[in-house]
Amino acid sequence: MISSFNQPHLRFPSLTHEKNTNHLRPNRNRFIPRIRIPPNSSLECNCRRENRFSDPGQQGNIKRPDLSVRYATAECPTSAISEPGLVGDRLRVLVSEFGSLTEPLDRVRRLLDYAGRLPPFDESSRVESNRVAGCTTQVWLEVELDEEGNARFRADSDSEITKGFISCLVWLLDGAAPEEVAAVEAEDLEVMNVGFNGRTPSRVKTWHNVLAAMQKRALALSNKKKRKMKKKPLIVPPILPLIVAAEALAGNLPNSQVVDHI
Amino acid sequence: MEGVALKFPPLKLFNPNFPTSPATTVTFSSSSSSSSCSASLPVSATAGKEADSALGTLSLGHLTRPDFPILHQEVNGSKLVYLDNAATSQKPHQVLKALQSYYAGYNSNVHRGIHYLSAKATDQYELARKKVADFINAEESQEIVFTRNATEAINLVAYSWGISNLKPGDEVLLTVAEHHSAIVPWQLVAQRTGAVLRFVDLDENEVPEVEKLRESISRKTKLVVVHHVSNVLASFLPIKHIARWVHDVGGKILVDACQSVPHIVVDVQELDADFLVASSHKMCGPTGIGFLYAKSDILSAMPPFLGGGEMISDVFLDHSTYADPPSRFEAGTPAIGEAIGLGAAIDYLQGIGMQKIHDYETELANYLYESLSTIPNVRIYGPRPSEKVKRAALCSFNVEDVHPTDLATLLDQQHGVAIRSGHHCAQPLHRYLGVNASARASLHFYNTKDDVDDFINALSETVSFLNSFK
Repeated sequence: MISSFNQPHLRFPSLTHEKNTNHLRPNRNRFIPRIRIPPNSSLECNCRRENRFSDPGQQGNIKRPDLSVRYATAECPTSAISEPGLVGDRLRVLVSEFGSLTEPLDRVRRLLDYAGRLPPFDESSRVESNRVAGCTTQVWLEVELDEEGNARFRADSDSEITKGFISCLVWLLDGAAPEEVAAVEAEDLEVMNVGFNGRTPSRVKTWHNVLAAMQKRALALSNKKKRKMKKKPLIVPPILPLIVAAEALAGNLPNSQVVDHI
Repeated sequence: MEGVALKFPPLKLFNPNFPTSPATTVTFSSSSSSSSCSASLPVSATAGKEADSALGTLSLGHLTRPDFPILHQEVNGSKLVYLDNAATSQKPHQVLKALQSYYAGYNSNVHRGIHYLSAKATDQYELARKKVADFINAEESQEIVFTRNATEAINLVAYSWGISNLKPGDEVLLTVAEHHSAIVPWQLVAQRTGAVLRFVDLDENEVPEVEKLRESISRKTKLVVVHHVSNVLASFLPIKHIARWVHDVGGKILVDACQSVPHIVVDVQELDADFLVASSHKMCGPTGIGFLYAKSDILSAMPPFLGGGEMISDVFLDHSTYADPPSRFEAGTPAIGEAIGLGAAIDYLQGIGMQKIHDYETELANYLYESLSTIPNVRIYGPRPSEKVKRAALCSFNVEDVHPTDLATLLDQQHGVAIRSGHHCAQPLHRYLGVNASARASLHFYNTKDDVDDFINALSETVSFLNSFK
């Protein structure tokens, strides 16, 4: 039972802060929701969706305008149902933002900035059952479905760069339908890569494993809910990248076989 | 065909304190019958930074660097500073040439063929075995079994000697600082045989508690499995003494020499080791080859490990008879070229002299430890170096509130510095130390104090950068 989901979701703090990276980002307060944007547009919806994880009294502060792209402000429906294509829109924002940072160090700076904005994670949730396997750093992930059946994520890590990745992934997928969560491919987010140039999935590409874990757990919860409702067919999770096996082999060896001469 | 040890004559600088002198090239070559080695070494003013510059000699690192082509490159826009030698070492061009010569000149399957190429390949393969035997002062070549690496060598001992010698209640003694490859095979065998594994903790200096180890040895102790040099703590264990204690109770000792054979003189007679394992790739040789040393009477009594061609004497449909060691434990076509490459690596190391390598690396070890200690909030694992306590030239460490993976990522991306972060195949040790991961910088004789300086400067910058986001 994840009790922390009943508390108000701590939004990302205002972008205006004292740190040196101020000049990289505009003041968030400019983006106050006013007009409705058409669905599937490339513009960002900046409203905070109301649900039990948000504090309705506070201004929305979803990320993350890029200096090179101007956004119209938008008003989100308050019913808190995930808009189709929302993940796609957010993905385009992320890719655009990181794609514009040609220097790897700038990508690191941006990630470290986002790391600082990840909501605090309950100490009590740093348990083995929340661990994401196959990562060189420690990552904890909590997933739940809200009343509308959308996936809600909370995550943390002991590595700041990983926290930065997690921060982006949570922003990307938090509140989306499990099917939309599952549709994101790691290749879509290659532009976020920092440091590691190899193409082979490995433990070092922590955020691949985190994305896969988010997808797997969201779908598992969704399938479980649907099994209870017994209405919709199950959705098969995507094939996962290389993940460490959870169980060690028992010490049993296969019985030796005697082959007869025929 | 005789193998020849290559000698490096000492190189003298004409004027180490003349900073504006142009680079002079000094060439020397050794005369040997079967191979030649020459190195052109630029003489530069950086020798002034070396501790032994007063004597007018270049450090061993500066002398040998030109032999390693891989070190002369840029990564991510910075000069490569390779400090991950405990994971794997780099190869001098002499080893690369030996591999090339084998595959281009006389590649052929060994032991079976009658034709010229096969005879030559067999000679060189067996010569490599002899070189390994001489390198560690084994009594005879037949005490060297070529394996894929040290991990396979330990598994060989576990499945061959262990399965047939361990009974329920027998004890295998290890330390919490052992590498996974020294632990897991014994876990598997203990499950099958009913033997019990016992682990010795560290003392207050973060070295395995040797007295406790001694007290834990009893009549039930059939095997002690210990590292010679720790790949995390950089500490040395007194193998000679431990061997005596375990022999007194009729037990045996297996020495994991992966981090010692490449760096110091290892003499299996002096240590009185029953089993000793090492990997070629950590000692300037190619990957894919390693060896097990075992006393011949022990080896003769061991049943086969892997079955197949080469390790047999006669094969019938319902049974087979087996070859004598070492062939008994070398099933299938071996890594012939790689064994010959290992032989070339040993020639190279012998040419420098293992004592010289050890002395230089002790100096580097102290310099690394002292320099790293200047980083604020750093925690280095293992003992403090002193007159009595020697450290290997590696440091595993953590910086408070900074994840080692973040450090390693930025050191690589921004500074071209290659270190390792993680548990270094020693999860029990990290759990014991109370950390999930550590960073590790590890040196070899072709590193210099300049490399250490570059590393420390880069580390300092990286830590400041990461702390600026807190």
